Amino acid sequence: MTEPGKPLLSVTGLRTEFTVRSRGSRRTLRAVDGVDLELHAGRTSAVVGESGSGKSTLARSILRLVEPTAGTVLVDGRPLSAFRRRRDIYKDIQMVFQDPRSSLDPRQRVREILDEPMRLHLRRSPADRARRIRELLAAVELDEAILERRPAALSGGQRQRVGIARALAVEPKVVILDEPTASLDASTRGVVLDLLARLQRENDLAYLLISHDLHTVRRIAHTVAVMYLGRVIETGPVAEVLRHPAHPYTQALIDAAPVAAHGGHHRTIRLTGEIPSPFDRNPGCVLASRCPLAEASCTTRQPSLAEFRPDHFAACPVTHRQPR
Amino acid sequence: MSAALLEVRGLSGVFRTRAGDTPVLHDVSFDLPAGGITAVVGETGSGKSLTALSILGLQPPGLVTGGSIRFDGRELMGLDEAGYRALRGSQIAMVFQDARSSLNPVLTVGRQLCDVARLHRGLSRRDAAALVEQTLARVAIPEPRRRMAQYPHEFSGGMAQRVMIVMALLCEPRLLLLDEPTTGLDVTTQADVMELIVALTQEAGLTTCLVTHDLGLVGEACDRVVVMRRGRVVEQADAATFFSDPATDYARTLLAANRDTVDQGTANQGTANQDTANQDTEPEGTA
Repeated sequence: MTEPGKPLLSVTGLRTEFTVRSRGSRRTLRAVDGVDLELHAGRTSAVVGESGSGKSTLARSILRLVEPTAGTVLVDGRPLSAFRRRRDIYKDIQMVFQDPRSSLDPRQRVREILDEPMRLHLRRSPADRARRIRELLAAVELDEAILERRPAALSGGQRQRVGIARALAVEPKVVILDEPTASLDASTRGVVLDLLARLQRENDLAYLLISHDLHTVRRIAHTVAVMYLGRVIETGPVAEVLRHPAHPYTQALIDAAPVAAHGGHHRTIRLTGEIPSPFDRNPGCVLASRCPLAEASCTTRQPSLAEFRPDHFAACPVTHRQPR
Repeated sequence: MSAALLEVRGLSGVFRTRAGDTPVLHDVSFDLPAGGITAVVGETGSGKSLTALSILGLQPPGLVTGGSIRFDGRELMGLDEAGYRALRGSQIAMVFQDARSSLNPVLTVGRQLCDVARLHRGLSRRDAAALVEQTLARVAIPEPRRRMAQYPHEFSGGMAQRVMIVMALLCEPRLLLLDEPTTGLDVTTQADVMELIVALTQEAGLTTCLVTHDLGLVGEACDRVVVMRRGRVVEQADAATFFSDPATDYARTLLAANRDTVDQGTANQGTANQDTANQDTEPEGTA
């Protein structure tokens, strides 16, 4: 509503299912279950959730690394299905992976790692590409001496900078950041997040940040969607959602995040048990089996997102009824 | 705080390689006071895990250590393998980072736990099973009897870590070493496991040493903090003092790195970037 202009990436009703065969039976696992999402130039939307929430499958479905079962993805107004070859998508959307140790080819030198996407996607002369490589290195604050090294000879922070530079090499509009700092030490993490924020301002990039870490989200995202068992259960501006969480699951996530202060803090909501198997879902709310606020109707009717405060949507009729 | 259960004095460690000697631990000295939780904090390469492993004589073969490690007044350095075996588990137990890779994938969880109970406590098969069931229930594992018949791959990360904690507790150790016990777990699971560690330390009168890179966990759970960097102890203090008044620049940097990103959504600590982000996103409704 307050988002300016047309979205660069727009996801509607995205659903991704996997068929799992075990002991002769076929079962369907719905990893992403009807997700809507919009990304705008110069802004960051975060998707947070724990393992099994479907956040990584969502990212992979957008990139068509897995084929979504239903739903549409528009890149700058153009449906992904209109791209002739799958790899043409990657001119517009790039990804920074969680673990740069496994996402960089160990046999390539940094120069080759950065050159390859440009050779594939851009018609540029070798001299142009060499100039662009120097620009990219400067942008991610790496020294040119690094060009002849291989990933094994780099520190974790340097490797992730190379991963970021590689994603930016083809001048994409949208960058998907999949847990970009999860493999880094605390002090390096902050530096890389600041770097990502600066690159976004300079290049007007739209970021989709996939993370389990609310601290990272708070630091660089503008809007956030909280996922649980394949569904978005709460969404809105980051400061608003983290200050006034409306869904019990969001509250539980905030409560569980450790605080670097003596004595820590108090947990107000406690979920029971662990995330249930995605096969054994009841027809109602995905959280009902673990939620301390659950009522009888929660197990029978699936709540949809309702506006809780301006721009802030949550799928919980119980907290929605409570006066704030 | 009572006297130290473990005293590390002038611990040094050098990796001997063909390319030459690489010193990785320099004059490491600290105490683990009895009955509390002490955190050994540091980033990658700080030597925190090597220090913990050296206590149990589990350091990698290429590491040559010197100095003194005294457990309950008894010198551990130079102990032979039989001496360490008598110590491991029954006196000092250790829980590693990745629980599922610490368990044997081809044996049921119950079998592995019962073996430990029988070996260390000399129990009969039946008594061991009863003790294991009871201990599993104590760490909030539902349906312990059914779970005992399952294999490690049927356990989630959080449940597997609880199993490892049970394995450590079965030996009734006096000192519990935890090396990044919650890394790789989801935040809600991590919070549950940390609460369990705090409760067990108090109930069982354990002395616990938590090796971690996460100052958040330290704040939540620990009484004392030892900060390591590049193989040296750079600061040690009570947790209250450490968080309110850190003595070294390095500790301040670490705290700042954590606090930049630690925010409950109630207070805005504000880096430059965060401020602009918040202005952008503040909806009209709350203004």
